[in-house]
Amino acid sequence: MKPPTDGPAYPQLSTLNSQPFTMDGMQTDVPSPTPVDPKQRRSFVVQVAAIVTGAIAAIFPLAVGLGVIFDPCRRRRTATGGDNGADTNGPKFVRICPLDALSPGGAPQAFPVILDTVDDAWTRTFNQKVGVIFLTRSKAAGKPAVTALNAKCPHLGCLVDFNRGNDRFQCPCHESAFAENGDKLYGPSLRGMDRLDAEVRTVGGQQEVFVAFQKFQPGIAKGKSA
Amino acid sequence: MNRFLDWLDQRTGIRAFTQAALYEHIPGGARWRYVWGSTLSFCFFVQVVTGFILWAAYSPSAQTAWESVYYIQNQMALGWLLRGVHHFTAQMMVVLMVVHFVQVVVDGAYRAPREINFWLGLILMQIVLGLALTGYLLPWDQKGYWATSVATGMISLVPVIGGQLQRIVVGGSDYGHHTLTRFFALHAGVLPTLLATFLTLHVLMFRRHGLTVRQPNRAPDTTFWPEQLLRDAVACLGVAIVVLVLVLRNYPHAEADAPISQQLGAELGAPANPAENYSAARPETYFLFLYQSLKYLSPFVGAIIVPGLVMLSLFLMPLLGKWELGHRFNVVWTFALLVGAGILTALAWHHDHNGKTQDSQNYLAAVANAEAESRRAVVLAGSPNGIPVTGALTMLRGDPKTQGPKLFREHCASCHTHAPPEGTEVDDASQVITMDKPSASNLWGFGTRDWVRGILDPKQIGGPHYFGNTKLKDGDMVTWVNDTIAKGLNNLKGDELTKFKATVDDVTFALTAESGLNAGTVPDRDKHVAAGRDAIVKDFSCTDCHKFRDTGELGSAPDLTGYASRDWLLAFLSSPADDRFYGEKNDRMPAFAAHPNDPTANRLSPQELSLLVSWLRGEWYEPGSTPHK
Repeated sequence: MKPPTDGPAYPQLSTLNSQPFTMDGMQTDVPSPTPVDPKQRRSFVVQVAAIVTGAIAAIFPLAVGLGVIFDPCRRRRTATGGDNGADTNGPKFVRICPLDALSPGGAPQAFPVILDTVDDAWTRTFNQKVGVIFLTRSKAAGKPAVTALNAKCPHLGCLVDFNRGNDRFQCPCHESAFAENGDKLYGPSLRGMDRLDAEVRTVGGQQEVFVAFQKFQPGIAKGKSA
Repeated sequence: MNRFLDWLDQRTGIRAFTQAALYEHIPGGARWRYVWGSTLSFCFFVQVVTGFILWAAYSPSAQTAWESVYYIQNQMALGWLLRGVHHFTAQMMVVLMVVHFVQVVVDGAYRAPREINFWLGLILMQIVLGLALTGYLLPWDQKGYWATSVATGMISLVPVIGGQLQRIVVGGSDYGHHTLTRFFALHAGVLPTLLATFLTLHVLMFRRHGLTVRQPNRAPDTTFWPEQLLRDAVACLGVAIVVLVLVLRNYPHAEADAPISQQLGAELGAPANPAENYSAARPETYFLFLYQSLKYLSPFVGAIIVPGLVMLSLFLMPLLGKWELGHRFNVVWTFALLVGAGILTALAWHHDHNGKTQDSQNYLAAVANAEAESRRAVVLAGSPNGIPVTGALTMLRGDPKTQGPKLFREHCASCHTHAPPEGTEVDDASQVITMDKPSASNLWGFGTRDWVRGILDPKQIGGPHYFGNTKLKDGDMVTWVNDTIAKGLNNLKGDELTKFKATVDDVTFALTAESGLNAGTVPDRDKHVAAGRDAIVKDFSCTDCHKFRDTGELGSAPDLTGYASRDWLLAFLSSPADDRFYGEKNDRMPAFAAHPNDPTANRLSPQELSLLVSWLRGEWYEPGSTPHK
């Protein structure tokens, strides 16, 4: 289609290019465009389109990364230690020690909790120590009863020591103290030490202590699985 | 030159820009109290540059973080200097923030029309504290790991979103690779970018409104360049000098034989160990007041409510400052907060460092242990085996010197002690394990000549270091030593006595030849060993009860063949009540590996047994010297 020959209705491209571009600003001797009808709705649409398109472009890099940012939220803790996305049926019982390693009525003893496999993002390690528990064997005759306590202080998560001198658990961080059975004695902790389920099973003719190890949320009054 | 500047100015407008930047109007003259903002910018500049250089050597993963920081600190040229400056400038930045804040409040520079700038400053404060928190974790040493895990533990206390928020920050339910990568992304990427952005806005706002001048007639008006800039530069240089002094504070170094890189600059604890009790965990000095407050307040109140309310009170200052009384209140409140934080910090410091209370002694002992372990980690990293691919923690877990005392405490220390003779100087207190009433022997130097001499000494064998607290204190061996040896020492005289003592001595040579320990550099050692072997069979007839090489039978006394050697010890610990050892005379010692066919059923795993035996025998890596206690 040939451009109109009866005078320029719009500034010709060639006209624009041949104008010297001065520092003073826009060219003044190019005829102004034909005044457009005050089509407010069209101008409004353009504005909204500009905002929306701009917003989409701006949010684009963050949006494609949201999956990675929130990835830890969709993973569940498993009994194998760490997260691998599979649902768990609750804490698994882990072998801790032979029963005769505990003396009846003796002081609580610390034992490491070792899991077969532990996943940490891309690394899998085997026979890894993932926590510490205290085991106490009661003196009561008959079925031997073993109490298991998670060694992590329920206040803010430091590992507690057992002080044989005054028969209590003491946390070296903020001075909470707990009785031999885990009850809170004094200090800023909101609850006593967390109990774990312990069982004595016979394996290969020997009695062994198994504990369902799990972690608990620190800093609250009621024990909640972490 | 002028023509070039004209050309540049036409294209960039640089003259107007520099004019505006340098000739900021300063009514009342340049003052030292205006320098603090610039010192803070300077600190940020130092952190970015040192940070970038550190970034070129640091690797954020659970197997490489500590390792790469170890390398920077100890192996890279002046790495300790670079890292030290980065560490101490961070501390200075917190201090300077407080000074800047106090100056702004006292001078009323937060009041209208500067409210928004003040709030921008408070946001900058949060970002700087966030940088401090994220940076502390990055070396992945025990101190950083445990202190930060307490801090992130508190995130779960945030209502509603706390649990999920914690997972996002930590990168999962437990600390691990992703915690490091996330913290590093925050520390080196997100937070510095936010800081730079807000800092730009802060400076732009400041330049828009100008200085708040309390004394406009104090001195003639001037401009930023050159007088204020000079003061700013001097202050920045002063900050740099203070940082260098802190980095070099231990110079000249106390221990002449430890490398300079381990004594100057920032400390590096032992590699983070999630399953090990770490009693020396404390946050950095500037967070100690928060730490102390958590001993009095419940976690939710102490970690979320109180800090939140304090921050809110700071944000409200510009509104209160509309009235003169409000301004005075703000000044008083600022100082009250400072004094309060100062008192809490002093309380925390005193509780840990007074050296008199049990808590303090425990803490100081834990710190000493932590330092010993970190020194050991560095020694091992520099050993011929170096750091394995699986990381420095694996290296430490395979080190008898580190693991031995821990295993001993867990499994043996309820009965045995491991302590040198009184008055001996020990350079590493963690190797010494004592108790008030041991019910078994002292195993320090087991199998060495001194130990063997002791068991043949009538004055010692019945004592607490040998059989004295066991049921064998009146047994055959003790009786024999008290009869035969004591008689010889008491009744013989002159040459005969000398010969008798020499024979006893030869026996010790023969027995230590069995263990392979304490070979020593005695002339004609082989002769002594041969004579001793003879004495065991003939002169003293030990083989009446003990089996020794080809003579004697097992069953009535421990086998002396290979006594205290590695194999002997492994077998002994596995089953002390075996016929080869104490048999039915075994007092109370448990069998630590009674199931050779099912190692998982044993009390000690094969690796633990091996570590314990190596430790008892003093067989571990030491730089330069032969492995011996």
